[in-house]
Amino acid sequence: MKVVICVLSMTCIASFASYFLKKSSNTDNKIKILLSPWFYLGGILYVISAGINIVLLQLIPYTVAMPVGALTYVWTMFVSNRLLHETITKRKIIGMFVIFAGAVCVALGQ
Amino acid sequence: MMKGENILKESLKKNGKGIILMSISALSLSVGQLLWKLADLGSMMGDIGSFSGVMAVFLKVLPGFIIYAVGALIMTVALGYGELSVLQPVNSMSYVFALILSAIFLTEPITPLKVIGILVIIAGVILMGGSSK
Repeated sequence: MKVVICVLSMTCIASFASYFLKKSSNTDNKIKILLSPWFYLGGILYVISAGINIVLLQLIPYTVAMPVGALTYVWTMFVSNRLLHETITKRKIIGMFVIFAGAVCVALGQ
Repeated sequence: MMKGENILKESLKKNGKGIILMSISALSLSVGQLLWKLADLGSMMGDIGSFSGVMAVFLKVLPGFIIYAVGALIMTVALGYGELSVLQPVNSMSYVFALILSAIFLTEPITPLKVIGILVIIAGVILMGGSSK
């Protein structure tokens, strides 16, 4: 149960972190990113997610934790579809599964 | 073969800059994680009750967090160059870098299955790269 909560919170938070970072990147002048509150919100969420990752690594082996992290991309696909109006294409879904398969191979190769 | 080449070209044309920057960010993530691994925090958890114990753990974790922060900054710049749903999965390149780094610094062996995994992840990233409108 603890593991499930860690996995879900870690991946969801990482998704939203990248959404806020993406929001802050929407400027021509890259220095302005540092002035955007979205950058800091994204950064804080990112740190929280990394913290949960550290906790998770104490609970389950690295080889399991690693492919599970790819769950983040699933949430990101939904978040960017809902909030950024990005399309969910067949190719994106296939690409996501290919990446997940690769992560499983890497994990099993340990 | 031609088709594979086209997918690669299309991918680089649409999201090349974002993918390269995201890959650099992924490298920072794996370096950060490597530093945490090398910090061997497990052995310090016994002292966490005291202030000096907390400070010691904090100082050990700090370099990894700084590199993570730099990675986040590079990632943010990268995300400006394409769709989020395409570029975020490029983060999985950190698995590739983690394997290479742990082979070098932790002398963990690279097995054939790991090499296959690396190639499959890179193929997935290239596939995603060409998938935006």
